[in-house]
Amino acid sequence: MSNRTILHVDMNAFFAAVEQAANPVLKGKPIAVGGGIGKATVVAACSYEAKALGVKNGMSAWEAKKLCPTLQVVIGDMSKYIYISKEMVEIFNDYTDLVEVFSIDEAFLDVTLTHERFGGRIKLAVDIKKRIFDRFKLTCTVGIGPNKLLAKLAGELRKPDGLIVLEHEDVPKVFGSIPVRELCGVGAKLEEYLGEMGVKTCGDLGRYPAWKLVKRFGPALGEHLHNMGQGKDNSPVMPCYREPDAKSMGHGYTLPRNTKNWDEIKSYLLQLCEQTGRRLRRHGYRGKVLSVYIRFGDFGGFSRQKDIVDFIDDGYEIYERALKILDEMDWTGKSVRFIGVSLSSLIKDIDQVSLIEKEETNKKVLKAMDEINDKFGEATVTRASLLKTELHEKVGMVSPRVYKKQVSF
Amino acid sequence: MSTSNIDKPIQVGAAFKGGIIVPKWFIWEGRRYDIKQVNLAWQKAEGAVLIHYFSVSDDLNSYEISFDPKGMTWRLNKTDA
Repeated sequence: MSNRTILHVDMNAFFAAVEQAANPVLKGKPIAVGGGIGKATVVAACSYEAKALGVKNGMSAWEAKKLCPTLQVVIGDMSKYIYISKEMVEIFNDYTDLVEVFSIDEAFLDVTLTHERFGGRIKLAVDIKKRIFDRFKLTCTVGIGPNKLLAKLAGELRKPDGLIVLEHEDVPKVFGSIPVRELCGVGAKLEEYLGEMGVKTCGDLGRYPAWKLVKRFGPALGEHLHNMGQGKDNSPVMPCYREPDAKSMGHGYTLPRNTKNWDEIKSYLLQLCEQTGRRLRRHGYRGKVLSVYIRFGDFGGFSRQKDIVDFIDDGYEIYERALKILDEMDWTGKSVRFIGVSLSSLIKDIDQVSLIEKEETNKKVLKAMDEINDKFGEATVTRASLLKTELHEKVGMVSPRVYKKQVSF
Repeated sequence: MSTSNIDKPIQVGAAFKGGIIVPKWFIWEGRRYDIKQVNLAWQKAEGAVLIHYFSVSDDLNSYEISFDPKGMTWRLNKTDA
């Protein structure tokens, strides 16, 4: 794995930049992209102009507007972002077939064997930036390094519209000042634990004794952290055709407004379960460990996981089991803000014939529904109880994990 | 800026260049709008049909229009003024 040339391409403020490209009136202005325009709307992405005024991703639109009264909140349209993302992957594939879609707006390219054909790694990176800008009027930052860790870190050093190379020999000089949180995979909790150990920068991590990291975090994570601190990363760029099977599938939704109405909560839950079932069937999976997540208006939460023994892919069956899990929840007087459901412990392409006629009939009904919805659009045929429930499909936000499966064609 | 959802059929004049659709003007409620700029084009599957979407502007406003190749129809989806 030595002497590799890896590129990390990261679109700058992607959702917001796409909306500004679509509507030039928004260019140069502070904008936030959310799932709606109500107070409960969460800022999924904001423009650099908004970030400069203190707006952060994950804030409520209400908080963001307080910080920046001129902020324009735009309802997101995932179909735009997914389309552009797919087109960018087509561009990347012109340079290498080793393209790993890391998220909707980031990708790794292994150009070790191909970059010389394109005039070298810098020229290749400049070409990619130019093609993306010419086609979509969007900027990106490209980090170049001998592995994915350093390529991604390089990209973090200059945004927006940057192009940075980070070699192994740069590590001692550069790592000293970079907070450990900038390393891919180090979240807030891990940063806190490392901080308690006196590890605040990547340089601190590199100097910290490996055996102490292993003692604190276990052999796998401990070794991994030690390697990261040295700038080492042997993980390959994983194109979609080499990806392992999915480990779980699910959906979550932040409600347009907090609610205590149990019927309303049940109908959102049913919709999410139906979506999960549909996606499972589309990809040929069934699962048997059901997880349900609820977040309350006071930001407390409830989550439970249950092994339901049978492998299922029927949205209504998932819903009935999820309701049983929710019976255990203590939510007296609390309003619900977010509902999530997922199925894990998946098996693939197993179609067991049931001896129970009702189950076989149900399978045929589901198959017919799926075929109609495939041909005429989502929810052409749906359960009657869902006719009044809208998850606002046009504006729903898709997590990077979900997106990776959508773009794996 | 305010967004208005319209979702109405329109007449469109378009050029087809190198496999790309370039809308040039549209007529909505009896008035012709000359498209000065196609800002963004994307596609989205609605069932088995691939709908072509365009964000376009004239001198004043931005519009989102879409083309359904199966029904051979155009729609004005929304305006941003």
